[in-house]
Amino acid sequence: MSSLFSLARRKNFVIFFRKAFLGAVGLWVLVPFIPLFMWSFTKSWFWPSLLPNIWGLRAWRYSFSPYSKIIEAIWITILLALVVTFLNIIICLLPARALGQRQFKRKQFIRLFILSPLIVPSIAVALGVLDIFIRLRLANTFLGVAIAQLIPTMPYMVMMLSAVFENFDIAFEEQAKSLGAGPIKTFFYVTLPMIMPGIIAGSLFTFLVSFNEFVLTFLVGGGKVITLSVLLFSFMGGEAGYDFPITAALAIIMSIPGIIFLFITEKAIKEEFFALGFQ
Amino acid sequence: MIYTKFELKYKKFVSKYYIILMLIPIMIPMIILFLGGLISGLLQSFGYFPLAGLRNFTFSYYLKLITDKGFIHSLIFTLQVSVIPTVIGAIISTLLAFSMRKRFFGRKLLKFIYKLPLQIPYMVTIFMVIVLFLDSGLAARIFYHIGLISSPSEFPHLLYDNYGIGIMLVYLWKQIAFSFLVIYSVMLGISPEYEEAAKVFGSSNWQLLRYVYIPLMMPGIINASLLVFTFNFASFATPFILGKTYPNTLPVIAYLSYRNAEISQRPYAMAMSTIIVLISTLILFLYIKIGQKIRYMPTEGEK
Repeated sequence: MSSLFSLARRKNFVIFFRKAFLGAVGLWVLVPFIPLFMWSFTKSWFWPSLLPNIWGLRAWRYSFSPYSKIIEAIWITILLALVVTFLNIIICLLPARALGQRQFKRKQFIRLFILSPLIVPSIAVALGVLDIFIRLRLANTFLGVAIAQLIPTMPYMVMMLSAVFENFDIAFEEQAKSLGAGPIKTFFYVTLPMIMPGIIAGSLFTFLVSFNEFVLTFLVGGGKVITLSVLLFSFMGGEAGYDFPITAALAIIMSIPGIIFLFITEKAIKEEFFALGFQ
Repeated sequence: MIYTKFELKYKKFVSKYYIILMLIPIMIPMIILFLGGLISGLLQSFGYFPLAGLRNFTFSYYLKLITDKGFIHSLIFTLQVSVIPTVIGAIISTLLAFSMRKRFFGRKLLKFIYKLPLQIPYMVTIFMVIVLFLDSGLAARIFYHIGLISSPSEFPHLLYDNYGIGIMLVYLWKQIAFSFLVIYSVMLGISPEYEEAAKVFGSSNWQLLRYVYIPLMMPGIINASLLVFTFNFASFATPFILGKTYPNTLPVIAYLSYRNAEISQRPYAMAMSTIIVLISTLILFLYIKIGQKIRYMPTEGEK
């Protein structure tokens, strides 16, 4: 009887310990967001007070004022991400089709080569690419950054598109052709609608990776192409001269696309793919 | 249908080289940018750098690097800063996955919370760590109110320090999400029958974790840790902002010597970046080897 009692107690203890552990990790993730929000609504916050002394909207007013660097950076970042996504769709469509539908020699090797930018450090690639781009006069330009950002984004687009092409039945295209549709019509009315899920998933990943990318933008852009991550970096550059409220507002703005992405992918995309969006 | 001779030739050509033709659009940027960038760095690291008038192939830059105390110190610092959060993260993520193996109220919400850091940019995480752990940050203020310190200068230096504590905090916060997701998805593939069998033989929770779940989750744990380690090892922004000028991680030192006004320093930068690439390639190789093992995991119990 007593052993049964102690067993029950031990079980209770295990349950309590498990709950405490799960809760602690949850807090570890969530707590750092709190000071971020508080700072963005701060007018002044002196040592050693735990809450802002005077609350205020200065940071948010600045962020969305017409003269703010943040607004400018938002537009550049979004434009850049859109250009990179568009280039990616064009570049990856045919290779993804070959990879998804055909079996051929060294397919695994080629797939690995295309995925390798996910692992090979972008700092090493960036230093090499910068040299090439200086010669091509692409360094410090928007176009140069867009082309450089293809490196970390192409793997996602190819993976998503080739996954769709694996389940793609050519019979539909042949049907359209036998009914007299030309190649362009077949593509826009048959192929494109069928691979749309892959294009959307690939675009989401590409957009997000481009949106958050820092190393290539920083090196190839050379301070001329100021995206949100480059701007946030420059706000944190020196130990002195922080403007905490504005930096906090910028950090919150930068987090939004990722959080939206999380909600979208919660149901739509397989977890394994999702985990790759880490970098 | 009747084709002209030219059309026939064209069709034959296309069907013969179909794969190559289809792969061209991605191979051009991959070879020129990615491979080209890496090779240009490799050549420079061997002393082939016409811009600076260097044309002789030599190993001297590598030799000088590996005999240089500063380089070795930075290498050790880099390894330290990358390994410690990887190990701590792997332990926490394994325990998390194990604790969440059964359905319970709020599991979905918790999973969503644990996933959150995955999509928060590094730059934002860096700022979070600054806000919390600066000398006058929130942690120092809480210490003050508890009575542990009386002024910001007494708060231990966690940022811009010799041990890279701020850097490790950023890594740890970011990666628990990643390791957890990988290990959790492996765990979902473990059939509940193992647990039932273990319970029949009277194993405790600890024994269940130690002798049943950890061995079965091992490929996932190793896989996640290898990837996380590579990310940390090659990460640039975090140590650049939160570290000191010296010691700092290899990517930062490589960047600083690249930006050095002396162009003759360039080969050293490239030698360092080549070493970084070599180490991560080695890990990629390990990853593939272990990835092949993962396919033999039991999958009956999936979801």
